[in-house]
Amino acid sequence: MAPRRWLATLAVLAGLSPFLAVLAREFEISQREWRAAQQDVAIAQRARELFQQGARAEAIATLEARLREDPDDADLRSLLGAWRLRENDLAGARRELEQVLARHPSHVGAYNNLGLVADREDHADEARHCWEEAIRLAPGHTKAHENLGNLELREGHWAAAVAQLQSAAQVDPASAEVRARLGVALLRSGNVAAARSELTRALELDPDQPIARRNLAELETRAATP
Amino acid sequence: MAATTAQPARSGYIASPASDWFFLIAAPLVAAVAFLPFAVFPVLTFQTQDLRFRGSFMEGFIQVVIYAHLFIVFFRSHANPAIFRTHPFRFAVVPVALFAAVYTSTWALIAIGVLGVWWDVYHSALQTFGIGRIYDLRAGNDLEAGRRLDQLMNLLLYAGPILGGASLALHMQAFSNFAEVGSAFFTSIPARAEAHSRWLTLAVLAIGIPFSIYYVWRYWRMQRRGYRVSLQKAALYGIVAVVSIVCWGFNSFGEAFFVMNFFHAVQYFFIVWHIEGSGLTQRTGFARLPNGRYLVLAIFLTVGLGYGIWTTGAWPWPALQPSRRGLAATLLTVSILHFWYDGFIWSVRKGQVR
Repeated sequence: MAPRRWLATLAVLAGLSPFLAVLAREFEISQREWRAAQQDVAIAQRARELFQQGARAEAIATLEARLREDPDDADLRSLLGAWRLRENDLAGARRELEQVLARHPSHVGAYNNLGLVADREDHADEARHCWEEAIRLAPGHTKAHENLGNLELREGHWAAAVAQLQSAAQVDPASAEVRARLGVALLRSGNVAAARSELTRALELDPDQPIARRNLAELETRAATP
Repeated sequence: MAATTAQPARSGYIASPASDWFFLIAAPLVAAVAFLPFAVFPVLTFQTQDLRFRGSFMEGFIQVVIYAHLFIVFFRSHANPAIFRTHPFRFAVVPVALFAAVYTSTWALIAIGVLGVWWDVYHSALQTFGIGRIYDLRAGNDLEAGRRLDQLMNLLLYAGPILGGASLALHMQAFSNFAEVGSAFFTSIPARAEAHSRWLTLAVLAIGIPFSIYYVWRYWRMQRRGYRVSLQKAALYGIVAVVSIVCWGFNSFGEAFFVMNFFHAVQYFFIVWHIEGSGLTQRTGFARLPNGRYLVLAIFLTVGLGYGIWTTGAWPWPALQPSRRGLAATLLTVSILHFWYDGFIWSVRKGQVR
């Protein structure tokens, strides 16, 4: 009986061996990538701290150093792009973000940030395309909905603005700014009651929200005028 | 209800106590234990594009196991001449026609893909039902005794927690593929189901609790009239009930898909080998070799898992990898055939399984 059991065990192991070989290889890759990701998290955290402390050049240098070691790191490069944008280096930000998307065409964060770059460059169509792509890839992406809603608001596309800002408010119901902008979009589209409700809600969330304050005051004035 | 007079009892187990408990009865618990490393070590669920497996190590692992178990149905349907002779049209013509349909028509690919998700649920419920029927047979009971009750109970145990629990959205995802062919009606189904999920939960509870009481009462009455309760069947259904409710119903650790599919596949590998192993060894001529049966066991596992690996793309021969459409059509054809064939190639009533 014992030799039969051994043979059965050996047969099972032999049958499983191609699977085990594939698993071993995939595990090795997974482990390597996991370690690199952990390292990246630590580096990004350190760089963020420096950036927040005002040591922006040092923060950017930290990311650049890491990216020289691993040029394909999409998350770090996207972060670098976002920071270059905040430093008003639009060309540098575009370069980084386009590089991310060339290698990782599904990187939602890079699309959102590239939309911001295009918006600052007054390329509304490109900005709209980037945010639409981000929303297509991640339907609940609050920032992309919010950015696209703001663009539509500026462009005078009230209905589109309402739709985008409503989506953003659904995902992030506690954002006073989103509520305020949604109130403005509703006001412009002629839906005064809904606009008042959103602006009031925005002030409940943040009593100092300037957009909500200004527009609600305007509404009150309009209502008081005979 | 058919007569419940018991026939002389045989051994209550299908293979042996140890293997039955490990591979069949307690397989859901074995799967839960197998999931533990994936819950504990984030490296195993880490999403990276550098893997040949799509997504994470865990996703690749379970994909191999699922698709491997789907494929090994052919060891019974096509490699067993007695079974093949029962339905040659279904085994020879339908696979080619089905593959052609899903390969050439996006509508067919998406519609049959959605059908596959829900057929999988039904089929998985009936696998547990079928194993339970074999245990009833082994306990010496009439083949018809409690058959319909067991069928409904297994559907309830498996589909109930899906419809009324945390995994509904997971099973509704496939409908969103209808967006590719512009069908607004089908694409909107997941959102509608989500909106009514609370009512679904209440409906499942409203049906499930009274039915469970009725089920126990009917078996109590049958036992008084001579029905022999199979400990193995009772333990199997009890364990599946607990694991199904915990996993599909709550999915607290993202374990539902892994655990439910892993135990189903383990049971299937075991049953196919147990029933087809000797026949395969005889028909392939390996019976003439000393210990040829073990060689066939190794080949059986290699072929099944080889197909599973092929489906993930983690295959050492990229030239043998089909186009995306070809792969999707193959996966869907094999899945649908597995669900369909399993409905008629393991009939306890027709004496195909003893």
